Amino acid sequence: MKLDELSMDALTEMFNLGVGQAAHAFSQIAGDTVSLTVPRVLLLSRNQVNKHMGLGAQAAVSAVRQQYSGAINAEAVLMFPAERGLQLVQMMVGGELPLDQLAEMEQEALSEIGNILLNSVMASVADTLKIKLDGSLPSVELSHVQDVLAVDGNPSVSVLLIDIQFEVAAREVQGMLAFLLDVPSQDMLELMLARFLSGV
Amino acid sequence: MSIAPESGRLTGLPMFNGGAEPWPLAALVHLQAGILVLDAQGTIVFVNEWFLRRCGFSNAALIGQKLTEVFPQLAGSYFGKRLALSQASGLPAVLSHSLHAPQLPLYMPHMVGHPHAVLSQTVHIIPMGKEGAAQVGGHFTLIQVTDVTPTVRRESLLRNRADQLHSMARIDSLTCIGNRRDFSETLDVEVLAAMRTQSSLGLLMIDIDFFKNYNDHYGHPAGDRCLRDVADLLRKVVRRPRDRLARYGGEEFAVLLPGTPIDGVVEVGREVVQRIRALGLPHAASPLGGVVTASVGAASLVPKAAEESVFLVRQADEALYAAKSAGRNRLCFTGASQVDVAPEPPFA
Repeated sequence: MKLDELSMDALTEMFNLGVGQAAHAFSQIAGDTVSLTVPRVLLLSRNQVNKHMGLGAQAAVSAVRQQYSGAINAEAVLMFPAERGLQLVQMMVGGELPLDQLAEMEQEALSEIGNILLNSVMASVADTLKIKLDGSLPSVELSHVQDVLAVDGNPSVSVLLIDIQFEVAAREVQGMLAFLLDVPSQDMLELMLARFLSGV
Repeated sequence: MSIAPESGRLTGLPMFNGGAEPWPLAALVHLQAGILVLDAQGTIVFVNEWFLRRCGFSNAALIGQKLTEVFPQLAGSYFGKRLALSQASGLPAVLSHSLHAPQLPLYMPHMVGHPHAVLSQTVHIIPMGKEGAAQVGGHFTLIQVTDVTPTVRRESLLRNRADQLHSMARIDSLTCIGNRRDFSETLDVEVLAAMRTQSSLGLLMIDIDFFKNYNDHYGHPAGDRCLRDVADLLRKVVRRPRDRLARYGGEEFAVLLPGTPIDGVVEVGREVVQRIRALGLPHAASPLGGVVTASVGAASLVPKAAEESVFLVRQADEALYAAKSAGRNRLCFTGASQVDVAPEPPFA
């Protein structure tokens, strides 16, 4: 898939809008301002992911995965370095509980965090493009980036990679969002972005 | 979780109460998790046994009511907002017990309404997709509640047990003060803290004089009693919250004194020497006046690197050795580089 600069800008704006809504929900949970920023959005083919990420592709990550279907079929994944997931949960629950007391709660809490973020972003895209999407419930995996994104899988799949940064009370966690799109969905997305930009 | 809407069974919802039970609904009624179904207007159209028993309402009191009419506390709550979002977007939501206080007013059966019996819960909000819902003439939202109270309780039990084992592993069973491991771990932490704040970290090494003779003369049970008496006394001398007392070896004790320059450490050390002697524990096998006495080495430094913990221990050890060489029952301390002997009267 190739997207021109305008289309990428439009997508980036939709992502930012969704991420802003998620930040609002997170702030409510944390009882403190959670800011989320999206430093950059990248579009890669699946087999470019390895090359792009280098050693990072082998990094252990906690991943939250949801499937979306409808006009666009997408697999959406939120990833954190495995050792930072716990810290993120700690930031959300207020930071007073020591890390080891949170370990048991981590998976479920991460699935909610992923659920909020992925749904916000997908809903923002769906709203802007005026399409209806169905979604699955989240599942949590502890794996490696290259396995989570199945970089050895069907190479025609495109990956939208979005860096994302969580910040609560001066503490930061970096994560990554990935949207995997099959060929028909890539075509559909291109088409809908073009339509949106031409104001049809 | 799906109710196979393509089979058209969902249209049979009212039928269930009429007695004609389509089997999937009958199964849901008896499911051991909470199920509540709302229509597009937010009206409750189905609720199962599990949910009823834990909310304290009858089926008749819930069916046909708006969720927020029955549970007014849900209006504007986090659950209410996620539900509205989920219904608007058609995307399912998870509410974990870890990030929130319990969302729905559900209680242990037979204790409904009791504030201590609120269930820890994980809630799934599942809008039944547009295709499925269209087939049955509208939008339905499934709310599924899982009781995670036993899991939460088991977690906290295991955690307490782990804490207990952890602290047991750091306590000397004879004297009930910290053991050597506790000392080492605390020392590492305090060295880092002192480095950060550029403050002095003081250390006392305390050794009971002629303790082997004591054991030989009075027997080991008496030796144990003596160690306990000395530990009890040291507990009284070492009073500040961050000071840490530990049994370092057989008859050797260590005291960490954070934020204490050498003159302060010496002062505490002198008190230790005097008060152990003043205990007046008989020690017929000691040449030092017939009572239990101790030798003390004192040191203090402002660490510049984590490895200086070793240096601090060595300094206090050398001072202790100097105190013993100088005749025991006294304190020595290390100044800038050499060991200064601060003589004590052999017997006051």
